[in-house]
Amino acid sequence: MAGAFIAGVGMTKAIASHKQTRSELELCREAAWSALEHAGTNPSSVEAVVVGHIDGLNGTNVGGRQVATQLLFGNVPVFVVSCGGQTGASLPFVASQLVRSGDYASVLCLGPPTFDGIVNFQKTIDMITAGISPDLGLGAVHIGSIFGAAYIQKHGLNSEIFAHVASKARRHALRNHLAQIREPLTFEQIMATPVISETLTLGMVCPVSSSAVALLVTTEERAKRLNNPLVEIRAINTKTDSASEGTRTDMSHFGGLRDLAQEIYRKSEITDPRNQLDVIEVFTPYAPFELMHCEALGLCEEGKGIELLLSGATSAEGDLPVNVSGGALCSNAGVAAELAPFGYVALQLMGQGIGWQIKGARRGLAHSMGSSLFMGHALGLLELKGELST
Amino acid sequence: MTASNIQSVPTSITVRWELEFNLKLGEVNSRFLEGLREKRLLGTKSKSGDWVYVPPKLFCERTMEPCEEWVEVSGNGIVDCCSVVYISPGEKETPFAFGMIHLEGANGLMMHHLGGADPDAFRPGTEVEIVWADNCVGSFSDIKYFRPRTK
Repeated sequence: MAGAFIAGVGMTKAIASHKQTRSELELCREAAWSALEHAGTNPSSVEAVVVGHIDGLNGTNVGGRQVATQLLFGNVPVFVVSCGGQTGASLPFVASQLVRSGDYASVLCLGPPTFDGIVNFQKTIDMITAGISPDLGLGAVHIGSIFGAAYIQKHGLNSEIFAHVASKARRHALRNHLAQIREPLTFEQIMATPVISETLTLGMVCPVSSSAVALLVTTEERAKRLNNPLVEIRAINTKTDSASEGTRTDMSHFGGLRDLAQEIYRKSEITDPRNQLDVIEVFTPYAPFELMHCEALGLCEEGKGIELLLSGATSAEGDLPVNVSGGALCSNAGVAAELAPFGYVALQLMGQGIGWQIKGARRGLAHSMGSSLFMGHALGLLELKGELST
Repeated sequence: MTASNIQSVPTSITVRWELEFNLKLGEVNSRFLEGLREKRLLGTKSKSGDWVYVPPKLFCERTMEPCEEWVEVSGNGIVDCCSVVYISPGEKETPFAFGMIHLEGANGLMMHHLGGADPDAFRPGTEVEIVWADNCVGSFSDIKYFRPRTK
């Protein structure tokens, strides 16, 4: 099977969704053209488009296809991915598989904004999921909080640890000109924000953002003819935990991600992730998730994520930086934000990191997640092939 | 022209979807809801007998075996983890507690409201029992909440 490479990355600046005046099409156009320009190519080189779209949240069920068509990609195959909260996480996997199959040499992977049109997000979600779960008046943030509660209750910790996660994200995002929130917030300030649902204060929760993200995924041969250092998707896959709590016995960890990480490490010959990886972006809309992800990825033992963070290892200046972009705690535009980790890691490996550049970064992990009970995970091992030109 | 009489530029239009669906519950969910109407909490057991699902499932998600045997559980359980909600998008008055409950006789968890006591009263390990709605009609809302066990 042929390899798949990320040859170009395009992202628009995230802003608050309610302040956005540009359309989905305009944002996607900017992201798509930026990715193509970054790669040093043009729309005519694109052989297929993979675009995300969440039915019911966009006010139309043809948005993805419309966007692809109106961006002048109407004559190439358009693969619309619509699988709820896991849509953005699935995009790079689908694009990668299309390239690896040998059928397409150049695939544009497009993550539109998700929250720009929806007026009552929770009411819509409740309607979409009415057939599978009772309406308990709980939103995604409350589900995030119960994971955090299970985590601290199992490990005998205090919810204050999550303020450290959020504070780190805020500090990282200060240098990311694409992030929505670029204001520092100290541990004390985060603890002083209103409690939404124990264990989460407002400062530990993602904003509702608007942005678009695009990746150009190509064969190695095509990538070599383009602008950027070669970043290979060495291994990528998705895995889901159960959507129902009736199959789960423990909410304090993400078992699906733990299993997925083992598979990705095996395929990419990683035996010691703590020392063989250089940079990581994990999807963290709620602060507890970064600690749980680090543990699922095998960077430390269960319950020790906060010790890893407080050691400084996962800071931008540490030896295994996690979320130097600021991550979803500083920008969360839904599908776009779920695709963003793959773009940020690719840029780091190209030596073109935004804000921070991790010196000598050669291997990185990009993670994304979503859907009911945050069951869906995607994980990609990206690796620099060859050397950066000096 | 003064600033006060310049109209703002239109930036969006309002679209409403008013679509109705009759989602098919399926035999298993129908029987579960029928049980709720009778104030009975029903589940199904996997063929090998190693997992009881409440609410019931047609197939075991862990092994893909059919779950053909029906069981009834008491509605007593133990809180696995819990949280108190202070800001909610729904109509339920805050603060309120919710949690994941290990039901006696079932293997997985059930997420539901915790009530009948101060929201801060619940902890992992708190023994709870089911409280039924005054009028059970055969819907998920027939379970009012779980409260600290009194007997």
